[in-house]
Amino acid sequence: MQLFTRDTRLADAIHANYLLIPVVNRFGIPLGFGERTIREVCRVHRIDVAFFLAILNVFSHPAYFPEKALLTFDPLTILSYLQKTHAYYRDVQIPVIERQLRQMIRRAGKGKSDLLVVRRFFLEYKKELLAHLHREETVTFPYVRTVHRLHQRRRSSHHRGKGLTYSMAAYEKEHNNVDEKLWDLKNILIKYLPGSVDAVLRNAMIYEIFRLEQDIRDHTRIEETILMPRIAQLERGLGSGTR
Amino acid sequence: MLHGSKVLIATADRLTGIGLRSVLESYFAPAAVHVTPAVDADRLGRYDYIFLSVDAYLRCHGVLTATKAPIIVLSQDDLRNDTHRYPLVLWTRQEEAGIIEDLERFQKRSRPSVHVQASTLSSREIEVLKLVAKGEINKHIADVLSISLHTVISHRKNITTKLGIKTVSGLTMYAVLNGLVSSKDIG
Ligand SMILES: [Fe+2]
Ligand SMILES: [Fe+2]
Repeated sequence: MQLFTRDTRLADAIHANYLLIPVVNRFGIPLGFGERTIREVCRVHRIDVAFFLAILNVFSHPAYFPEKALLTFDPLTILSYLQKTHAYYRDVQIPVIERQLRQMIRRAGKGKSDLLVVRRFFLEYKKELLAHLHREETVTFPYVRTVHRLHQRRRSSHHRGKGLTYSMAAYEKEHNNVDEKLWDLKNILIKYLPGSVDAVLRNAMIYEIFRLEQDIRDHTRIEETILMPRIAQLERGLGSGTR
Repeated sequence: MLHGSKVLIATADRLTGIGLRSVLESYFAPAAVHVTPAVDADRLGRYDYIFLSVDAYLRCHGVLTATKAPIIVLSQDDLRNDTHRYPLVLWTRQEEAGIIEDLERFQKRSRPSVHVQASTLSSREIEVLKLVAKGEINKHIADVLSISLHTVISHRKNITTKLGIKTVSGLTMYAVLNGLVSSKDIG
């Protein structure tokens, strides 16, 4: 797959990687954009094309790292994107998997007790994921907004990032992989859960977990390769962030 | 063998290129290491190892399939588990020791081995797994089975490799599904 450019037609990007559909939606772009290129779609929807492009490429090339553009992205644009992604996990993907699991349990005969074990594991994972999202939304993201605000009205030096109790370094330290359990869940569903459960639902659930796992992995890369360095750069401007 | 090899490093990121060259030159001497920002397709044939930035890799994917030398993609992220998307991936942002370790691994296999040899667990590993599933810590497992802590850790590594399950709760789920422990035992 080629790297996408501003002149790639958005439809071609989606043909190349259909997992981009929810990503595009998160930017408020509905499908039905005809032959428009990425540049044109961004103009219509007033989206920062460099940022949009970086996200599409991060999601399509596992090792892509948007170096040059990095220092110009608007922190609030990054946040709004991350926030929408969190909402998508919480309100769409997790409930979908839960529903599939519930249906499987309802239809199960002798496989039921095994599915209850799987559900128990899934609920544990859900708790872990929600805690991760919550921590970012209540600590990391508000901190990013504060740093951005301080940076915008860089007045006298005593107004600078002195009293801040958090930092990108602290975020980097506490930030963990929240997709590991999904790998295990997938493996159990593929290799070890006996064949006595509804095959159609089981397959659908495996697809869904693959998608969620991939999406979360790419989301984490955006947090670590775009958000962290961008905010660390603002911190340096404020003379803070050593913590 | 990397020793005495001709090595190409293609990356637009000069710092990465220079850093990697010094690692390769000092540890695998005498190695002839050439750093370039752009790949010259005609000259690829003369190298024994080719290290590429992701950009360079994506750009000259087609040419690369024809070369016999192992292709190693340089990544700023830790993608070592993503071997299905790239051939060999070297994570450049780790400590030098980690880089050396990876390079040595690459020498052993120039093809990614996506799946580890499947085999069933030994009876000792099953004992360890049961205790892990019950939430016991390594120290306690060592005491119960009268083995060293080191042995417990190596059993656990083997279990994870064989089953492809990384987390404790994943192992627990496996143990319950296989009737090794009952769901009442796992709290
Ligand atoms: Fe997040
Ligand atoms: Fe995160």
